[in-house]
Amino acid sequence: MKWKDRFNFIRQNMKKNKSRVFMTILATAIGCAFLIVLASVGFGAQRFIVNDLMQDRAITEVTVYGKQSADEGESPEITKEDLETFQSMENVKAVSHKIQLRTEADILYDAYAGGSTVSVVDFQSEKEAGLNLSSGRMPQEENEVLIGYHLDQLLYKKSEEEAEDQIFNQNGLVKEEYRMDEELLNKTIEIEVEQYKDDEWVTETFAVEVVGIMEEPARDWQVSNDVYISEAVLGDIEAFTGTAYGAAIHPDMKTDEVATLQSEGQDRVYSDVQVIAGNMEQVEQLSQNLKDEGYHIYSVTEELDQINVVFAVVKVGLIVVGTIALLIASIGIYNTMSMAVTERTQDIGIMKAIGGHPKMIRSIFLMESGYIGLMGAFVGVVIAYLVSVGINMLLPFVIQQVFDQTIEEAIQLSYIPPYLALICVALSIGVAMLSGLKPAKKATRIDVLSALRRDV
Amino acid sequence: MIKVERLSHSFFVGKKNNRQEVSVLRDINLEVREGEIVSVVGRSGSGKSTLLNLMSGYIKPTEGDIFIADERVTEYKESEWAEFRSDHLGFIFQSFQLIPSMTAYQNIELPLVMKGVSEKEREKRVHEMLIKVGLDEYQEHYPSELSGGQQQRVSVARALIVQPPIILADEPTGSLDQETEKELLDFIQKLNKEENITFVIITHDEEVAQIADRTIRLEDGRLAADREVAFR
Repeated sequence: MKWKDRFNFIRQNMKKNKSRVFMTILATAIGCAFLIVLASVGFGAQRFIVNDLMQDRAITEVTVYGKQSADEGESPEITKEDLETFQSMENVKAVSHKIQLRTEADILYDAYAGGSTVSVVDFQSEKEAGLNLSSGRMPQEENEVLIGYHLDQLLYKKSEEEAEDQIFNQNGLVKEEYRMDEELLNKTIEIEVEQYKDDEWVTETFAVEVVGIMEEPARDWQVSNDVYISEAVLGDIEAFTGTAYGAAIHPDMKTDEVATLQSEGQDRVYSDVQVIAGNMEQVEQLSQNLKDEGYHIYSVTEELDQINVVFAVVKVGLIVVGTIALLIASIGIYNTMSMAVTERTQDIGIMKAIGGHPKMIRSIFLMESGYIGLMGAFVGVVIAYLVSVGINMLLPFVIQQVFDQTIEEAIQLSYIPPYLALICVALSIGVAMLSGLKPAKKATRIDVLSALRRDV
Repeated sequence: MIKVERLSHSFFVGKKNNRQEVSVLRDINLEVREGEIVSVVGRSGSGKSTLLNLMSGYIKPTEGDIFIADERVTEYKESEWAEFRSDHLGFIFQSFQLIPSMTAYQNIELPLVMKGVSEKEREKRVHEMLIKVGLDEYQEHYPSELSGGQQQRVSVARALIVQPPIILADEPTGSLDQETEKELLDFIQKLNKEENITFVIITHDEEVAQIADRTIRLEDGRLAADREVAFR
């Protein structure tokens, strides 16, 4: 019997008892939708957490904190030599690093001033590592700098007599009425550094030109007050302070402490060292190589692996619970198919009597139950997507009503990846066919003579 | 065409402790030649339907052998019987055995559908057959919308559609009036002459027995007589 004919045969048979078939399909659809929606919560939660984790870090980043000291005297800090080692490693796309200025530096512009974090970066490496600007360009000259997205919102007039809590808003930025009107892009700003010299505090300013503004930090609560300077500017600052990294000397420091500050810095040490892999797949190997070399590292993939394991367990649990609903629906399919076989006993008997092959009869009933499963799964997937959209739309409203909290960013509690829908469709068809297996076998075992006599 | 050797069939009745063997057929030997019409007659319970059921493969003999179209079918499995039936045998039943939810056209088409014949070929053959049995106007009618004679013609058409060399008929005129019975018997004779189809007809109707080349009489499960019909 051709597949097309089998399909037509099934459709004809199903039409004979539309309401029963409809109810069975509905039960399967509800079971399938329940399974998908339940699992989608696991997928949604995982996606939310993973996205949250990856929001402020590139997934290809491996942060190097330091190295294990092999010898007693060896410094655990990252030096130029280490950076070169990283550069020469396999799978490394870029190495991003910073040298932090070890003193408090104020930024001055016109009559405005404010604190900032000044660091030396290698602009070329930063560019390769994926540093993005919201406006302007990367520095090319020695006195050109990049500034953080919020720096202009952190400057205020020094003459303001108000207390700090009046000037700054709850986000730590200067209130709008105290802010300056101008943007700092393409303006010359001054970095003001203070040092205790010859028993008195001396102040020096270093003029630099702002050529680029970095993009807004990923987190709402993060405030970027960075100023990225070149090594040459650091050299000028060091020349003024007389200490490495512009370290400030305090009046109560002992002589040997001051001497240490003045003498170190022959070999630069770097902070915020990030080794960037070419792609996500290379991160694991790169992390392992760095560990083997004795570096203390952290990569987001390590955390992701743990999270994924946890969620894999959660999702399996949810799918198992959801499958119970599908199994309950399968009882309905079994019932429907058993009824169908009983009702069609005479037809089956006739078919067998005139040459119907038992395999063909079995396949017709298996296909019929599979078809119910397919239809149920199809409707179930549609229902599940609608419910999923509904849940995601209602969630902020429910949280606001019940917990009295407003969610600023959209939370997707339920997420249905296409493969989840496909798995559920396959599961649904599989369960439906399993349910139809026994009735189908029963159909093949129908005794021709009994069926023809109609005494079955 | 059909050869039956020392064929016996019995079954058991009663519960475990009190089982009794009931013998339906005993040591039957007979042969049906190609192109013959053979009628099997006998009283109720003589075993004639059992003989036909054994030849059809619906039941298995307790002893003996059956050969059809030179093939020993005695030990055939159900699936082998299914294939054999669809290639070699046509069936006509007393109560027509049409599928009520299918039209006359679909009932006749069914054996071809099960054999996997293409739709185009099916359409051609079913239409020819409908004309042959004089039912082309009734092709969209369901069995419940046809008279007994028309239903039996659909049943005959269904048996003939796969062009089998042998047709086994169990009381084919049992549900028909005299006029319709005569029509059917004429048709059987015509098919036998024109297409050389072998018929084995179970009957207790003398009219039917008269169209046969040979009549086999069964009595209490034994072959009582096997003789040519002289005046056919």
